[in-house]
Amino acid sequence: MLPRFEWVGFEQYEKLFASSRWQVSVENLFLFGTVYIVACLLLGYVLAVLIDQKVRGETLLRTIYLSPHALSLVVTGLVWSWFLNPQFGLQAFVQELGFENFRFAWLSDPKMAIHAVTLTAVWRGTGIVMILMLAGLRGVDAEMIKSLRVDGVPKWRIYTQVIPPILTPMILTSLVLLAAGVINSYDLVVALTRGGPGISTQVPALFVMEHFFARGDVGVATAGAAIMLLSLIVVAGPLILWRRIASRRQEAAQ
Amino acid sequence: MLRKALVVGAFAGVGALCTPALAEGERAEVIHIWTSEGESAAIREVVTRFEAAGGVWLDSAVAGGQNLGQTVFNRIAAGDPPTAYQGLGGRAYEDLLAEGLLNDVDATATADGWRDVLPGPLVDVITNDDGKIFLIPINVHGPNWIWYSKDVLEKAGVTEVPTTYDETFFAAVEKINDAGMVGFAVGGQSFQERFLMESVMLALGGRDYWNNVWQNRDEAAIRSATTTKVFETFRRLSTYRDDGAAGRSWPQNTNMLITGAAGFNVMGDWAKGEFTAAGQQAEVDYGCILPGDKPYFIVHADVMAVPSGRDKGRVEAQQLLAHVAMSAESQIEFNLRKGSLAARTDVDTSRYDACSLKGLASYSDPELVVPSVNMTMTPAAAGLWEDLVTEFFNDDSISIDTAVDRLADIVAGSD
Repeated sequence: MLPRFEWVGFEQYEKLFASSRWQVSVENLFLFGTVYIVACLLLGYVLAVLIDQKVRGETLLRTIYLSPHALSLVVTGLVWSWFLNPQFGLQAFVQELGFENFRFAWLSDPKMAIHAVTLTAVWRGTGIVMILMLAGLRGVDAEMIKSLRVDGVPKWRIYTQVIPPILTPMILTSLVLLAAGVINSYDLVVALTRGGPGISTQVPALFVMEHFFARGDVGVATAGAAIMLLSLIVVAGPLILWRRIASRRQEAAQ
Repeated sequence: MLRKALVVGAFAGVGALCTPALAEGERAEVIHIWTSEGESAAIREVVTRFEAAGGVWLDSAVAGGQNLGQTVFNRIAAGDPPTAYQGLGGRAYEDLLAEGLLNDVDATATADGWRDVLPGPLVDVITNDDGKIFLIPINVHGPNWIWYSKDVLEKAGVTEVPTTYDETFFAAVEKINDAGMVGFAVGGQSFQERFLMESVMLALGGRDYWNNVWQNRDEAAIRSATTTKVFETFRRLSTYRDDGAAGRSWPQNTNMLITGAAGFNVMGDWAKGEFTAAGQQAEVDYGCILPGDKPYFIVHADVMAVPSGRDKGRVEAQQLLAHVAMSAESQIEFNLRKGSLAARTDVDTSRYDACSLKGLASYSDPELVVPSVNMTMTPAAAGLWEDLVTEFFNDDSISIDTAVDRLADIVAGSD
């Protein structure tokens, strides 16, 4: 339960990587992380573009889209676990409407449960991306867009090819926020599925927590934590380096 | 200004309440997870007696086993351990004992003659390498019970009540399913799946098989046809899960029997506390089965461990707690409410209900009792076992051969 300092080489890492639970955790993190980030960016951007069309009730819509972000992850997880519960959630509701064969039981299906986690996370994360993107869109030079329109460039090309590069800082900020959300997924998983059914929605943080505290297996738990730190460095390192180089270049150019 | 006055007043009030309490008696901060209705009624029986004996009880209830481990671990590592904390009788204390982080309660245990009133195997579990008793055995649970709702069985027309996981059992489950209720309610937490698996294992294999696997670590027993049969039966049970099973907690699961939504489930006898709290009676409203060709019983003991620390009065409070919690009177009152058996064998059993008496008969018979996996395996190995069980239960692609290989590795890998 408490650390003992004996040198065992890579024994704990061997145990860690032999564990199917750890393998599933890592796969889930990648699957969840990729789908979550891509879906949030795309949906957030699309929503921002739609709202930017000078729609009526923009303030109200903005508030509605952003409101999920104000909820804590635990509350989000709990509410969605009720909503997705096949016995009294969405499935039961639609069945009561008369569609007897309607099936929507992702939470009890080990193959789909991780997507239920992703869905919940996307629901919560899209709003903040939308706000950031919207702020970016408002900063785009209206004169430039107008001149492009005069030149006969269709609207969809403007939104897919011209504006995204201008929004790079917003996209980067969103990326950082969303990446933090991936790490935070621990709360959501605990509230929504507790890592189940079986081990189908395990994530590394859950693995580490349970081995450290519930099983007192400090060795394997800290090995897992070390791998988490390493992968963070691998992901964040190049990004930090790239920004440094970029700012140096800018200085040099001035 | 008014708000400030209120705040100051509130603090003064709290101070006035606390100060005299701190000044008198032995102060015990106890971390436990007894929070369900039956459980909290049970622990209150100990609290009242502890306070009547002049102690001051600081209740630190947390929710769930992992939170318990986390809280206790952090407090011990930070040098601020609680006076006592709840745990399971087993091998989880070896590290703490080796580091000298646990006190013992041997003085009280000897003075009160625990060794004369506790069964031998339990005494072994609570005794450290120096021969001193260091755990307070609050109760003994059997985690391998099958429970059923008499009402539901009757409604579904089940006349023959099964005694083990055989065709009679599955026929009854299917009959209830056909009647539009849930035949077999299983929860979605891995520890529930593990208790179910262990119940099947002991029922189909019997005591010798169980001990050969977990205690003697006999590879021939692990790779025997019995193990295959156990895994087959366990997989078959997984097909009876209803849609709402994912993530369902054990009190919710038991509640399905109480409300007549489900026929059978498998859970430790702490489930009885829920039946009792709902006003149901053993063998009247609900039935209990210790499955197997004989009524085998896995000993699963709730204990309190007493960490060491430098603060004044700690040892005195721990000894008082040991004395109070182990008195015949609190043992019986606590366990009547919790649904478990008193660890002491000399208590007045006249108030036990029909299920407790069944349990007691098995608990008192050395031929029927086996130690829990936590008592024979290291915590890490027991954890790997739970992983294997939950993976196998939820993933049909894991073959029985693979599962048996993994079981053999787990058993061989435990110290």
